[in-house]
Amino acid sequence: MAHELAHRILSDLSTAFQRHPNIDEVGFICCPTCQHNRSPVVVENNKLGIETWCLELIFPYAHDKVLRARGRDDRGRKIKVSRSARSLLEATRAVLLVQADCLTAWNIRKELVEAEDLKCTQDLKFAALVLTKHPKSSETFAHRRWLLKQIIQKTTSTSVQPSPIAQASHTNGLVAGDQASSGAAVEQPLNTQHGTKAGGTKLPCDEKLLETELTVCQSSAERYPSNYYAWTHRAWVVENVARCHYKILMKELCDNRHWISRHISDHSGLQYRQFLLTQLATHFRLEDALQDEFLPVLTAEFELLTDLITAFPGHEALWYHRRYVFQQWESVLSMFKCPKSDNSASSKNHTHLQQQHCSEVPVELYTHSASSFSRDRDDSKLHAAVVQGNKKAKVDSTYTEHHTIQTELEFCRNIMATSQDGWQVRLAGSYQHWLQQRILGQDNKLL
Amino acid sequence: MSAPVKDVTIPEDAPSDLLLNKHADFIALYGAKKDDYEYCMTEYLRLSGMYWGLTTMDLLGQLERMDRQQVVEFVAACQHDCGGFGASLGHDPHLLYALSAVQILTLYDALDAVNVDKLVEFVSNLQQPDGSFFGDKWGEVDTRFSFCAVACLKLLDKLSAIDLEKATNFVLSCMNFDGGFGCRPGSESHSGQIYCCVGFLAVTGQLHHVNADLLGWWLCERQLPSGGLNGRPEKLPDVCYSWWVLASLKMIGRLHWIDKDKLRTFILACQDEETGGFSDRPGDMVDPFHTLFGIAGLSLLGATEVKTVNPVLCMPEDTLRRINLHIELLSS
Repeated sequence: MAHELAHRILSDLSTAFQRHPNIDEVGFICCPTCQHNRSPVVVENNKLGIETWCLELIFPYAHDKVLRARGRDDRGRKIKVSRSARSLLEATRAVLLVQADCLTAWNIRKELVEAEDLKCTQDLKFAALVLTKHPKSSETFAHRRWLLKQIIQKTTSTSVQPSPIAQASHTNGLVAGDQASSGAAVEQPLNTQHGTKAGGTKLPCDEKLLETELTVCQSSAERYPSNYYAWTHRAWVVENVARCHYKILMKELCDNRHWISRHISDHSGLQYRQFLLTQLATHFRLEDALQDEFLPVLTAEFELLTDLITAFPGHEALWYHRRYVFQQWESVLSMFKCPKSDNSASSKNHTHLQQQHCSEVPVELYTHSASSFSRDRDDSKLHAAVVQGNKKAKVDSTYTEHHTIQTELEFCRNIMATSQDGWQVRLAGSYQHWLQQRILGQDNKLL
Repeated sequence: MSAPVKDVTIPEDAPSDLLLNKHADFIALYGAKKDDYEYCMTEYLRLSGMYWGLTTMDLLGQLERMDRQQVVEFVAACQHDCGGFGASLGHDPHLLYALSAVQILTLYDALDAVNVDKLVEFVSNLQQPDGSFFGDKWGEVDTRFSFCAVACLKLLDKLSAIDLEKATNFVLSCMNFDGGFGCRPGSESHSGQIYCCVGFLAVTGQLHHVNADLLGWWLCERQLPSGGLNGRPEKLPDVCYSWWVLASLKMIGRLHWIDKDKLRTFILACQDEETGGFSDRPGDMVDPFHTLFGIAGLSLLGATEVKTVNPVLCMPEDTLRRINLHIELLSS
């Protein structure tokens, strides 16, 4: 009886998906008992609602079907496997709408993709739907990465050698799962683009795919604050789908500025910003533009933070971001505080810089994976948008004095002396302590 | 304009004594309810659930209340031909459940019930050329899996089965400027991931790579006015994060940097006086996961009513002594 009903509801669910192929959100309608003689599956304006009373019927039923596909019955006894793609799609869909972290159900869908019973794009759409109900499901994001890798591999299987940059820095950025496709996610060889200021502006990926993915991340980040999985996925996408293309990095930095200004306590959103800045540092270092172009970006970042910290007291996430910006600032400057011989801001000698400073150069500057470097005239507009009205874009010798440990300590003292907010004072004190520890650390290094 | 600190207020009537027997009853009862919907919903992590429950019982000195034979047979039945373990019967093999299986079997001294050689092969085959570990054959990478791999092999005394140098380099490439670690290179520092990475370094005898003062400071900043610890800045305090932060601090010799009394008060306030068990925060629903980490946290804080817990493997120290497993920690 219960099985029959569960079977019928699962069919209702399938019919709903057939009739409304553009369902874009799912939610449970709180309804502990069945109150009407009608289906618990409702669709309105492409929003799918499932009444909660039926979950305990359909979940065990669909879960059982998943186990049967793995050769076990509901008591765990071994049985002969019989599989029908259609029934598996139905069963895994029901399981995942309720329990998005059931990795076996996602694996069955991977097998259906491999068997060409399910398209990657279709499943990306389904996974996006799951995230509207379960925005921090790590398995759902992991499944998306697997699907994206399939798409990337397919679109480039006929194409190109890996970029030398991608290979050189592979120890880091790309997850090892990408080894097979390392550096291959491009439509044209990256090395022809590298370093060119003009031309080569084409993005190294399918723009629509990228845009969809960024939208899914954004929507999940909106649904659950400081969503670790959504933001780490976004960084993965920028690295592996967009290949850290300069334009994308700058555009993301610009968009994210608006986002974090409205989500000042979202540490994950701010940390994503740090990921972007770190990637840009790598880019500008290779372009020999750390001082001319990257320091203004960091200066704008200090200004943004001072504004936000003052306007919204008591937000630890903002103070933590300031730690990152300051250490990044010091790291860049330390690269140029070279022995007499090389004090020029425009040193062309990367190797020299790297050799001189490898011990003190921040790990961050070298860690992440390759950027694809292509810039054109529009890029200066992007850069201007990021730097936003910061007039000090040209570096002079006093520029480096703008942010020192002393000015930062002064900033803390000011806040501690003037703020009415006890928590803000405590956070300023924490930052002050962190700065002092840095001084101690540096002194120890000198000794 | 100022925002309220994201924290909880501990109710005045919150429990302040450890309800030891209630917790044992809660776990014993939880394992017995096999037909309800909740149980089916958590099937996908069953072996981990069993590890949480059984370890709790062992720390409470009541492991004998559980059915050893039934457990061991179930765990053995979860092993696949490839050597890996699924979370439950019919679920796919994954490193996460390989570790839970090994932990359970070690508690029961029953490793001979499974094919250990195959398991070692399963784990080592998941290592990648850059040293990282896939969680399973589908290729997801995460520092959690690096920890699972070495913890598993350490318990089996088979650490030499993998390339330790490369594995270490990968974990270190996930270290951030704040001294913490994330799931992949460049990912946000997160207390759970920090526990895994510091745990990895502890298991492999390489804690000297950690900047203990820098990381210790970051971890201490997780303590909120209520006494509870959060996992990342501006998140609410949580019993499980209290464990991960606390255990990491213990590993790097900085446990004395937090206010232990306040943390103890917070953890005790997360008990349910009626049903037994711990929840994430005072007044929420209890579950076996938070129950283990509540008990383990209290053990690290020096509770004498429970057994001493090992901060790296989250298992009773007496179990590890029995198999002659010793892990060096940083001194304070």
